[in-house]
Amino acid sequence: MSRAILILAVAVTATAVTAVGGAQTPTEIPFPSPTVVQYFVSTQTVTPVGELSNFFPRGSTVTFRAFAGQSKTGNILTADDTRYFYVKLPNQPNVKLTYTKPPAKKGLPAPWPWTATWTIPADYPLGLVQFGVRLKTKADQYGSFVQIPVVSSQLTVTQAAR
Amino acid sequence: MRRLSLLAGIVVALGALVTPALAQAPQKLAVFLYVDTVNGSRPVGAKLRPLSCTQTNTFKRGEQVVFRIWGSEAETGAVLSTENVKYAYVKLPGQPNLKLNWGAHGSPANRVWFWTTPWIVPADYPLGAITARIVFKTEANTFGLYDYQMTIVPTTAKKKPR
Repeated sequence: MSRAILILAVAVTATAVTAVGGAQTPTEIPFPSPTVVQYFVSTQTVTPVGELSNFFPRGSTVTFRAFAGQSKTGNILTADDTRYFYVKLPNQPNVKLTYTKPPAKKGLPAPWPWTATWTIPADYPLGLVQFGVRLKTKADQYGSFVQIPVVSSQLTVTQAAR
Repeated sequence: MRRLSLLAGIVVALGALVTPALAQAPQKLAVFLYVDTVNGSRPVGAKLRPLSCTQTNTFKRGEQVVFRIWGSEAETGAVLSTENVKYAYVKLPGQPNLKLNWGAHGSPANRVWFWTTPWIVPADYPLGAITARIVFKTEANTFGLYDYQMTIVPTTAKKKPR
């Protein structure tokens, strides 16, 4: 009898443990990381007329536009604070981002005060481009940007239009 | 002399009124936001594009827009999640506010969490440039605001059968 009770107790415990395990929510992995330690950096790719896109044919020009802000102070990064801020592309020289002082007006800040352009070489490999953006300030603080890991929304080089 | 003083007083008063209008855009933020849009895979009144989840800010009436947003609190550096956000929504002209949802996206092997909300462009939605305002309120009672520019174009006209 006591043996039967023991077996029953073990079975009930195992069921309870399994149920808890099954009810667990998936681990949250916030993008880009749980915490932005020094600089928040965001970047987009647009066509020369400012249309958002991540598909560009060989020979076309990609405009990178970027923003950076300092954690703790909330200060928006300007050229005066910056040692370097560039786009890193596979098998290409780094592309320097240039700061344009936003117009003097009230309201929200300019979303993209930094820009750079890259003309895709005619023989650049087709497919995904895992670019990154890196910055270092004069106060030796760092920031970086990587694309959201959704493949169809990442920078992609396509065949040149005929 | 008295007239000159009066004139000087008027000039000073006018100067004080004009100065705030010329004030600089804010140079710091409490909340940093990244915003983009991709085409959703469930259009209602338009043809499905060959590939879903590609970045674009030009949409036809009937297409599904998906807003994708991530950000951080400047003071703490914490990435915005349900842990530190009271509410978050997208405000579109002439539409009910769209509640932003915190969830996992990407391939199963590389899932990350950020904020999204879908929107079907109504068949009679005004054409042209629109501004979507993204609003976040944190548990620390700070706000993140972002004005996102989009363009709505007509659905391609169907050819009449002969």
